[in-house]
Amino acid sequence: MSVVFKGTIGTGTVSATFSSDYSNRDADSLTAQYVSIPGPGSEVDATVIVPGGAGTVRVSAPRRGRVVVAVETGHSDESGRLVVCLNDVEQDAGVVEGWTEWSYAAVEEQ
Amino acid sequence: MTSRLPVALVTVAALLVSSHAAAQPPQTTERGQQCLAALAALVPERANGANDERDPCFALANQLFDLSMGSAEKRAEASMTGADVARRGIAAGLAGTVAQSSAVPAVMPAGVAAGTIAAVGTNGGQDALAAISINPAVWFIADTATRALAKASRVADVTLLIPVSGITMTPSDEAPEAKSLRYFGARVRLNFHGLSAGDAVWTTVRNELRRDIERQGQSVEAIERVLTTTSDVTACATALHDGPSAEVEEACGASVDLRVDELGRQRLRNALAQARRLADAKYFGLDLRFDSGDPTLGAVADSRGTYLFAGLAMGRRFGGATDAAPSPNSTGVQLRLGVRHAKLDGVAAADFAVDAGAGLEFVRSVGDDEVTVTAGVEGRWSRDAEALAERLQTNMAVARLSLSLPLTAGHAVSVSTSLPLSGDVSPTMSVSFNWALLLPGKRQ
Repeated sequence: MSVVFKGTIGTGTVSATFSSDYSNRDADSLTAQYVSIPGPGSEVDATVIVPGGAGTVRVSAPRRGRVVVAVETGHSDESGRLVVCLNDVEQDAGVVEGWTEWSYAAVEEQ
Repeated sequence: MTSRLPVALVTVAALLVSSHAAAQPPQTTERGQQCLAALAALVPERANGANDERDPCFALANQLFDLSMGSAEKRAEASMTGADVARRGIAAGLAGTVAQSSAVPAVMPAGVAAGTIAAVGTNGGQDALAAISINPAVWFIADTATRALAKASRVADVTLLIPVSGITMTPSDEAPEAKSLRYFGARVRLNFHGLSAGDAVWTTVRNELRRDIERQGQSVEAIERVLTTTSDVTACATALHDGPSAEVEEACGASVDLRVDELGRQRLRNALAQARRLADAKYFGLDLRFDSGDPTLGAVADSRGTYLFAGLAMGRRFGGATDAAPSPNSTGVQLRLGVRHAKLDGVAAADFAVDAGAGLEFVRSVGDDEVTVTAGVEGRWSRDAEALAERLQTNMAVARLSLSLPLTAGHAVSVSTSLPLSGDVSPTMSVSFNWALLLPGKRQ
């Protein structure tokens, strides 16, 4: 289990794509969560990705808040490539293994 | 008029300031610097990085929450027991051959490629058969596949079947130059149900995700509140990171409940696991087979011909876990129904037969792999060819039993046997070695 705060990110549409490794033994889940701070307001998206496949989730983060992108693999040694974009512009990308959470502080442009 | 202008400008400026203040919590530059310093002290590799200066105390609050969350999840991970139901073991398809390695063959396609070598014994002797399954989509789609393409990549695979103990027939006295393949088979598996997990499961997942992120938001907000009011940001942040609650209250001037809702996280984890399991636990698809030559590998005389089969197959696994407790055991049902067209060499008329099977599977997860026992009944019936029933292998029913044991990750050995219940068919026994991951792939 890896929980990593990746820093601040602008507001807009946050999308995350996970490309599961072909060698993974079972399906993986990919989720995206957003909550407005202060509340209220939240949005979530989730999908399941089979080995060798890829999936994308999206949440709209229109205001200051917290965004969490998470990959849950069935087994701790399963891996894949996670790419996070804001308004279709890549913000972070990397190979992840096991359950991984990347969080962001969504901040409005000043 | 001129005297009113400065007043208007001041009013507009005041409005701008107040609207900005509404969007951002009141935070002096000095406080922001203190938060940046605390952030750098807490996570040195973050110093001067990742645009934290855009809202330093908010970034620090998120960082503190994630450190707390990471510790809680590590504890939860350490206490987790049991295993998810493993994905159905996917072997190259020997279905329909005398070396069939499961009681009722499934139509789950291989991820990239899979291979099987089977030794089989029948009334006609012993033989060996090889099968290689290739997922054609995976070879043609890029790593940046869209979701639609990713689904398509799991839809189909193509299997080639050849005997490996003697590929060609011995030339006969009548036609010494003729050397034809003893047997050749091809199979296409199409699975239309790979990614569906059911609306109810997704509703649960989304509800749990929403509850989870709203709780996270409340915690981050509470942390930020004390960070913006405390007299010593670094001391408060340090106490929030690893100090007991009394220390937090002393350093921050207020108490903050940083406890992660572990029960809620467990519910979320279980809901996600359930969605993953259901995506892997069922299939519904098309099974297409073409066989040329003698599919009985000599068990039945004069059964050379061409055979075409088209059928539907479905399967579903149950159990494996509940919301409360994961379990390594699961059971499943497998069904198939189709029509076979057969044309024997030297026989003018073709034969149509109904081909059906039903079976149960019992699965026990062992670490990351699974032991599978399948038992079932298969049969084939035709009204038109009573006299050719033995050559066509129709009007018969067989009971099948199969045991699959994992060898290493992605590799398994299967022992299968079939016993005739009715009709003139040979009993069989086969031992198969399955490579479910012929070409494992890692993305970089």
